[in-house]
Amino acid sequence: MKKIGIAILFSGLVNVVIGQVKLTCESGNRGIDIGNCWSFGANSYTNSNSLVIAGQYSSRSNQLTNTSPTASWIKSPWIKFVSGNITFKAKFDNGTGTTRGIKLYYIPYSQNGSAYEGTPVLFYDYSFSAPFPVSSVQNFSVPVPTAIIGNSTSYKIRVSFVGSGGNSRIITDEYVFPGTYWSEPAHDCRPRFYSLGNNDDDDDGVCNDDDDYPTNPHSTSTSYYPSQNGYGTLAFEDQWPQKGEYDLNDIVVNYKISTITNANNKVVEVNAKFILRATGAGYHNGFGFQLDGIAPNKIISVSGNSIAPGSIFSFNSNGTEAGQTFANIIVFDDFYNSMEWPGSGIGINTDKNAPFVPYDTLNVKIVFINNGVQAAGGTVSSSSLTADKFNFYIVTNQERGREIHLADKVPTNKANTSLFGTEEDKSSPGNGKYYRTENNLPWAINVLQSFDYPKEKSPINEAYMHFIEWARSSGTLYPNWFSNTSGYRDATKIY
Amino acid sequence: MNVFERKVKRFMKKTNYLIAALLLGSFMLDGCRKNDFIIQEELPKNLNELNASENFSWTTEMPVTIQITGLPTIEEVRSNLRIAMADGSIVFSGVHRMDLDTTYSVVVPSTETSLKIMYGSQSYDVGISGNQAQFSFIPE
Repeated sequence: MKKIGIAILFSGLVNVVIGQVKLTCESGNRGIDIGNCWSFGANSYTNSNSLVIAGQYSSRSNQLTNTSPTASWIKSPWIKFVSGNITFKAKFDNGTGTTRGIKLYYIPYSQNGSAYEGTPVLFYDYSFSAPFPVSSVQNFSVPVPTAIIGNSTSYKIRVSFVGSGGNSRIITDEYVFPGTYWSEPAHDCRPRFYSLGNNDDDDDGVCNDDDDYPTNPHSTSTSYYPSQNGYGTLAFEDQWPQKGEYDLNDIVVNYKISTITNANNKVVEVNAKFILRATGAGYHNGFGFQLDGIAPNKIISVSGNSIAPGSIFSFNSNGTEAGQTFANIIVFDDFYNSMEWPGSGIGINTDKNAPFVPYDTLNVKIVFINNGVQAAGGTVSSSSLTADKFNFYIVTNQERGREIHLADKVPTNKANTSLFGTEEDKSSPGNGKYYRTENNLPWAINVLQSFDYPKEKSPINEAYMHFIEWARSSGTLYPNWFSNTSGYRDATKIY
Repeated sequence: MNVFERKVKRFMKKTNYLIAALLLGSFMLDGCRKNDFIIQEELPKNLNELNASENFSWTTEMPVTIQITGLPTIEEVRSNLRIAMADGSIVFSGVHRMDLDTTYSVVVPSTETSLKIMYGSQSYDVGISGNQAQFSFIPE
């Protein structure tokens, strides 16, 4: 069952002590109190010295020239009442007026009512006698109606201010209601347990409606990269440190990363889905990613990847690559082990004259916490595993040191750094510059949407008319250069 | 002023307007030609001529920092805070205490102009401006 937090006293603010719910107006910001499920009808806060009853702020009504109880009022949050007295203080800003009064109502819960409120029931009706108190403060103490005491359901109290004639306003303050605060600020200020099923079945502190895994105490939330409903595309050139054809189809992979976290925002599991679409390469390339900053011993296990016997990669017992400072996950060691060459054309799915090979999907699962038990190296906070920590790369032609990453992504421990600065690569590790040519072209791009890659030997700028403008403007112009918009692409150069 | 002089004056007036219009037109056309020429000249014909910025990330993503202003709550309120793109597709979900002032960093396509912030049963649209978005749990 949902835990009811221990009531906390915020000195001077709207507050609760065990058995009491208070409104002192001392937040000075009515919005804070509204956020805590108080509501106000034609009442605002004042800090005018001549008006304030106690502290720095009090509530002030409009001019009380309306006898309707719904014209000017203050309404409490949902409260489970106990026996005792409702108390508050009142005075007027001037003595004018024919009549002035205060009416107290209790309001039951109603599933279909406006703001989930049922019909108000009047239980206290007071008329001020002339002269109305201006310089003095009048104290009110009203017994809680027996009908709402100790009931299993909660109620609101509406304090209505009525009057006729004159222009005086009522100033009120220091409201105290005997009972337990029972509103849910995160759920439209409905009462707790407003509907069946909104408990906390797995007792992880997050109610069922808000819990992505309401019956699993070890999992609470799922974040996505690039998004819940979309896939990103990674497109690589594999001739580094030579520039190559720039058709960016030597490895084309779609990805979606789902990161599951628990109620303490610790990473429980990463589920990485990769759709292998094309390789325009003669090379037998592998693909993986490094979790930058995450030590391998923070991971319990890796599964779902495609590694053939006798692979060039070696692994720790938990499935991460051996000999690395940070966790490296090898998704596949050779594209051709997952998708078979169709017997004609260059590579797979880059030549329209060759047969299409159905895409292959790999679901890689990385476990950080297993049934509440963390890895030997400890836990990983969700804030430490943001999208930028997924450092994707390919390993070309079964040569482990020949890694190709996205621009400026750091190489792994296994990269052959002697290749930096050779041929057309102008990496400058001392300046944090990696995998860029002299004019800053990369060997890979990351499109956050699924995109149609160029066919073999068609440079991407010829397939997409605005690629150059996008790149030259650092992504400002034509941010959707890859879209199927009229005038944006040459379909004859796209696979 | 006789009839002839009036006709001459009217003719001169029309001629002046015509000359002015022609001059204006030629300036405009000239301007267009110049602009076209500049664009054609500046746009690289191929990737070898392209000089990209050393800071360009070569992705279509946009990092966004969302500043959250908390509501000082009467009791501790914890729920999943979800951040989604405008179409509702979630990018971030994590347990959040409603009273905390904090920031979250997400990555969305650079074409996005707004985000959805969802907390409990509440949902709010917030605009993205300069890689930043702001949201407050305190009602206006």
